[in-house]
Amino acid sequence: MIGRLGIFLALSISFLAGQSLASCRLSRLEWMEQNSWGSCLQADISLFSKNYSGENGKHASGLAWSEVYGSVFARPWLSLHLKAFGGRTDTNGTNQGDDATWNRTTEQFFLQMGHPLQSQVYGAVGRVPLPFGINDVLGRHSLDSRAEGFWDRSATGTRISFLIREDLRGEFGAAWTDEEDVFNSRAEVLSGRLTKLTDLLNGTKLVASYQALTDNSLRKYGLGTIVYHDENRTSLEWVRLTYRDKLDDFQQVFRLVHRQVAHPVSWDFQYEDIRRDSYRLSLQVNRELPLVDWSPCTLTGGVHYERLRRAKAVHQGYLLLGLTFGLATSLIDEGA
Amino acid sequence: MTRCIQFASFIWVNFALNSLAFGQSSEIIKDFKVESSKSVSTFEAMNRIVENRALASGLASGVNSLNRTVDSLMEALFYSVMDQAFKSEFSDNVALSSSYQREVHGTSIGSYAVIDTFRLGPDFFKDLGKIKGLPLTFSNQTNLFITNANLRSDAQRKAEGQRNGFWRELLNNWIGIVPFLTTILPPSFNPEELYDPLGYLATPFLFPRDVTEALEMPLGTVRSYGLAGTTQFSIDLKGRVLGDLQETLNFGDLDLKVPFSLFRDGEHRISILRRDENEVWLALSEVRRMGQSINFDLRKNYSALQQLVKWWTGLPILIAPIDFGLQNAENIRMDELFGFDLREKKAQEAFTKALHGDFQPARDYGEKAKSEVKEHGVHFHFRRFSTKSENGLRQGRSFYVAQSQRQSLLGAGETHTIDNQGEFYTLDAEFLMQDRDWDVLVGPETTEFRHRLSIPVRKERTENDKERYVLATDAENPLYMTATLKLADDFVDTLEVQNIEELFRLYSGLPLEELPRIPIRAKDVEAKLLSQQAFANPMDEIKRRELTPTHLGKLAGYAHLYFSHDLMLAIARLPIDQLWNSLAVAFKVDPLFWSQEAENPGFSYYANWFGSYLVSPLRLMNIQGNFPDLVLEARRLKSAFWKLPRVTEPLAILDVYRQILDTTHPAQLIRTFVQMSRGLPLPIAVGFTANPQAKGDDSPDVKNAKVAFGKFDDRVFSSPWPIPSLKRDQSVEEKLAHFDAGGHTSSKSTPLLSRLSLHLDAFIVDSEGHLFNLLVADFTARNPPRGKDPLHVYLRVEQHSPLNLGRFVLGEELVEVKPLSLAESTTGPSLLKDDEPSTTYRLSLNGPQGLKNSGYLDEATLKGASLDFIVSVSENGEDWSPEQTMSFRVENGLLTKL
Repeated sequence: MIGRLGIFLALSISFLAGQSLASCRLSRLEWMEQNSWGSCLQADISLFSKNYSGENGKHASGLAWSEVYGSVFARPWLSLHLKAFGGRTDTNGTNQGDDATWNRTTEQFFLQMGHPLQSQVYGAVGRVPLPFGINDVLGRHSLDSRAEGFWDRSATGTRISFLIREDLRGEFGAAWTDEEDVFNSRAEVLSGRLTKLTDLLNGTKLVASYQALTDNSLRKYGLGTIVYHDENRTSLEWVRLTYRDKLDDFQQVFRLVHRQVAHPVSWDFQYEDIRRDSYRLSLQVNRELPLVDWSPCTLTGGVHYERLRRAKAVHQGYLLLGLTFGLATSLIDEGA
Repeated sequence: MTRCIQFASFIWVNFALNSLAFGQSSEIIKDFKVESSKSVSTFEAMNRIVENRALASGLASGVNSLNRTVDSLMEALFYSVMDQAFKSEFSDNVALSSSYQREVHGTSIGSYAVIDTFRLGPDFFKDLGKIKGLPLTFSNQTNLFITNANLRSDAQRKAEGQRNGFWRELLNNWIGIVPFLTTILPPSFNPEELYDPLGYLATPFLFPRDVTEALEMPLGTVRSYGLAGTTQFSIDLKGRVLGDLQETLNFGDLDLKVPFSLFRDGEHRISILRRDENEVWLALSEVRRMGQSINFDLRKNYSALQQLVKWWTGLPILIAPIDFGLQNAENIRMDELFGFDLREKKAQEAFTKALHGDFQPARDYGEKAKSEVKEHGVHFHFRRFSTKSENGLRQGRSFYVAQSQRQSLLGAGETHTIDNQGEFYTLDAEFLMQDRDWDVLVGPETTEFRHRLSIPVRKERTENDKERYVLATDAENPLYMTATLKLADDFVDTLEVQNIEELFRLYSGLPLEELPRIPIRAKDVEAKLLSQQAFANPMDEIKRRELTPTHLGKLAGYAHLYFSHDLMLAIARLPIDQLWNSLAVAFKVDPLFWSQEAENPGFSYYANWFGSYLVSPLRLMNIQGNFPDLVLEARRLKSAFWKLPRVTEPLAILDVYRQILDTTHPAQLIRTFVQMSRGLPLPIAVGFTANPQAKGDDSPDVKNAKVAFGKFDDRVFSSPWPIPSLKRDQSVEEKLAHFDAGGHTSSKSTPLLSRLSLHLDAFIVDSEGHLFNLLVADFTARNPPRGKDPLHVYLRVEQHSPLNLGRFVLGEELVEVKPLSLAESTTGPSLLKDDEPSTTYRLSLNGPQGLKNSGYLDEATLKGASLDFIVSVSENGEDWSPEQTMSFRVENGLLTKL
């Protein structure tokens, strides 16, 4: 018997599931124990205006993008997931004239076996991000980051996660990457992450990661912590990249992100420091707006200052203003 | 017209709400436990949560740098402005250095002990070349120091501010920066660290020169001056082998140092304590230490964020995976204490001479009959000489945001004391261990074990004209051992409470069954998280919130045990399998198996023995782990227990006890004794104080957990045998403790808050048409001021914060309130005994008769808010009671205790 449709509209900003604005909620907890089906669909639509001032003069951009995440559960322990991104950027006033670019990616598409809240061991196969670091970042889609290469984009591969002790989780992943701009070569990648959970405040995770290309041309090391207190979150992360052909040199990033929530307003602060390259200070304010009652909406304003460490220091600034709408809906087999 | 309608409808709604509220309750009451400041009980003496004096002096070298980084974040950002050192170099080897340093210690009664120190003196350093390639150095540091230590509370600071006048107060608060920082920073920021920079700079000139200046010292203040010096020869044993090892292990830029030192240090100190209006205590102490130490340090001081601001040297970050030290020293100490009633001329003269180092007049008066004290005003308390041999151990690690330290000390020696009743000798052995774990998020957790032996003896001359000790025990002066465990944690959750309960159960052997059982995790929070995260993307699991144990609040506990020598003899005579059995129970391993293993040592026996040595390198980094050093402990105790019934000479008894006390597992050691003492008279007392930190949006299960946690407060558990009263040697220790940070207790009966009740009365409209609910406080104080004299009340109102991560001070005020007549008092019977005087005082907190700036209370009572009231009371505005807190919520005309 097919159960009734349950639609839940998230009313507040959720940062439990990545950067998603709205999130699906489970209306009946018993579903987790039953062998029944379910599904979830989340979508965010963002409209932003960005003003740049710096090395490349001054120009303004209009950004529109959408991120969609959907999952279908044959059983709570067997599910198919898809996460896709599509967006357009229109830039006016650059040295090369006006410019318009489209971006579309299937960020994730994978089959998941086991449920993270239920299973001691679970894994995924398909297009997945490898388990490495935390990669907590502000303005992921609205602003390019010079530190992006320190973390991974998704690649075709597999990952497995297992509980070593009650407070210690290990993850292992392997992928066949085609992201040349990240790794500078097509290669197989092995990656591992250990996460220790402590009870400090409302939960603190200590994260250690290691990643290497199988041809040994590049290695990555990461240490980080993520701290929850009430609805606030702080993350601190360090990542180092070393290359086989440049033994005496390495690249390194240090990033601190803090989110402070006082409904209906929240503040984000980020400090990102790339060794011998640049540092960036970001401050962002978000305010929940009751525009429509069927979709949570957030108004965001942000200031980002970046300094490039060159012979003569280069200063760059970004001003951002935007609106984001979210929608989430879930469906479960109520009759089981 | 519209405004009139709005006004009328508002009044109606408010009236309806208040009527509804009055139908239930608009009054809340909180009773506070009060203890007379006069009665310094045995428990109090053992429960001071201040830096341990013996540890502080015994292991001073090398520890200070680590201790200072305990508050490193605040220290680096704010406090360091107060700690300044200046050095003028005269040559490569000689320099003149001076320094200012401020230390602030929290005390068990909520106030702070602030210790300002100024030092000035020459430093001499000489490189003496190399011995077999190892660098040898000589150094000497001598300095004159002046210390000003006082107990401060927010109430004192506020009262002082009112007396000081505007400009001085402005400077004391760094032109308003300190109050601003207090408002915006977490509670780990302590304004006392920065308060009164002018008074701080005046430290070198604060030591009183005469009676007038001594009587100008604030009550409870301790001021000292003296001379201290250290001389040492040091050789760095790192050498080539360890250097190569360091390179091989690739420690990065961490520095490895292994200095071995021969040292001699000393201190001569005169201290003054203002006890009350006319009485001061003056103490003389001389300390000499000689010995050797070896350290093993792997550390580096980094500077972070130094490129952010040009002139800033950055945030100092200490990374020290290994901070290990061993020390062995001979310690000679003399303490002498006099009390002076400065109304008496003779006492004034003797005091003035003693201030300048001439103690002879005071000693002369001290030798006179006790009945003459009233005449000359000089009260001789005691003179004490002690010689001890001490072994100290320091293990620690620091990763900046998380640090862990263990310090332990084992000392034994002779103490010769002369007091009003004559002279007496004791042989003492003492074991101290202090564990301190700290992290940047929730602050420190301190656990301290103190095991102490006292053997009353007298000295006799043998036929060969040699001195020997003879036992001199009687009912008043028994041979006894005490064991004390103290623990303080400002941020406990359900799991930690369970572990703390377990530690106290282990240590005391008491079942502590009446303690409430609190579920580790809140079921309703678990359900909420499950609902929110069941459909979350599995690839975002690193950011998934986990269900953690419920945060509860502050907890402190103590356990005290008293072992008579007869009891120790009885357990030493028990069959050896009883020892193994009890040790196994203490280490939570199979008692039956280990009892058998004791008879025929097999593989497990040797594996356990070997394992103890195998894990020892980890202990360099203070990673203690759970490995049970069962065989090592059993072998030591077996040997000591065999000897104990056989020795009769006091020195031999001391040696055996020293062997017994020399442990790395103090909790298991005492549990073993408790286990072996079943059925024998063993006085035990265990107590807890708890301060639950509730918040308005706690879920029902979290609220229940905090209510259950509140039941820990003031819980005392004891065995059928009471803890004996203070012995003669303990009384001497007790008096000296008054000179420690936070150790002084007032000799006067000062007012103490015993009850606070709040009433919320129906809305009021003032002459300007403003609406508000009237909030009224009744303060019931024990030891109240005489007759109709007013009570001085310090009141601070803070926004009640969930995890106490922000202080959010809304208002702070000092007021004088008049006593209520009996007819006016409506708060119901107090819990105080009839023979203890108490008076109730009433204060309107808002409205026309209320506090000066009470607009926030008007708003809170109308719109609803969660608040903390912090109250301290005083008779004279100088000597303030401990702060007491009441947390409550006001909503829809209802008051609810949180």
